[in-house]
Amino acid sequence: MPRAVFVQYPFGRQLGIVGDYVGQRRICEDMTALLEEAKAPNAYRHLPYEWPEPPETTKWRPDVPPPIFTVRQAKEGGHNLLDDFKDEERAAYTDAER
Amino acid sequence: MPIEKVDGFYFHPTSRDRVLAQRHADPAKTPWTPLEKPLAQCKVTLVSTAGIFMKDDVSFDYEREHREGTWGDPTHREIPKTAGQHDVEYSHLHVDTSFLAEDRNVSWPVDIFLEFEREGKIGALADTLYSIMGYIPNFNPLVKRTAPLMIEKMKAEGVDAAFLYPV
Repeated sequence: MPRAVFVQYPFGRQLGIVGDYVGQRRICEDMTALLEEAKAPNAYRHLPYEWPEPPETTKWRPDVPPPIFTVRQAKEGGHNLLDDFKDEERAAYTDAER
Repeated sequence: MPIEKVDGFYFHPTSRDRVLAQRHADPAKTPWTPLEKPLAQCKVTLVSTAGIFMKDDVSFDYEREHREGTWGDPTHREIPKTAGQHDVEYSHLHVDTSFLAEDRNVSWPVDIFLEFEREGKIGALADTLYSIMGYIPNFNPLVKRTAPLMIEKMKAEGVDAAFLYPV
């Protein structure tokens, strides 16, 4: 990513809580400001804003787990997602093509 | 205490080892296109990873994802900037999209950028906005096919910059 702002907000609500238009707009303004101010790649800015709930009680997961959740549960221990790729195109994908 | 450095795993600590084990991007290969004019003269667009699609469009392929949990639809959908909050579906299976369905500006700030347009803060919001569905373990088709298609359309519409909103 040539430019990015990071904010410690939960998945699905990266701009803020429902109805907080002022807070949501503030982060969009941080993004537009970085676009104008960045002069070189890897221009990253960490935003200071704090989410109002602790992570343990912050809802971001869907009520129904995604299919990969079942796949992971079916395997013992952790596994590398890359091992599961079936798409033959991946074999042709090399660093040189990035 | 204001946050000085964002912890990307703050809300999902159990993903830390899995993500860190993946190959990292090389900063030396980061592309760069300078902004050639003031933002107030730029046409911009938005790209979301929330799996957003118009209600009269084709859904992302969740049937295949349910059959193959390690596969994710790498295609994109186009959304007119005139589409309203309730004209689209927010469909990503891996995050709770109910907040988006209630208030899109929590992660899809169309109303904010329309306001930027009215204020002259940006030159214009492009007619076409974009969404992919961000669960794409094999990102090769995204890089090779989907991104070029989006870029082609952006160029045709005279877009100067795109703001990405991953969920």
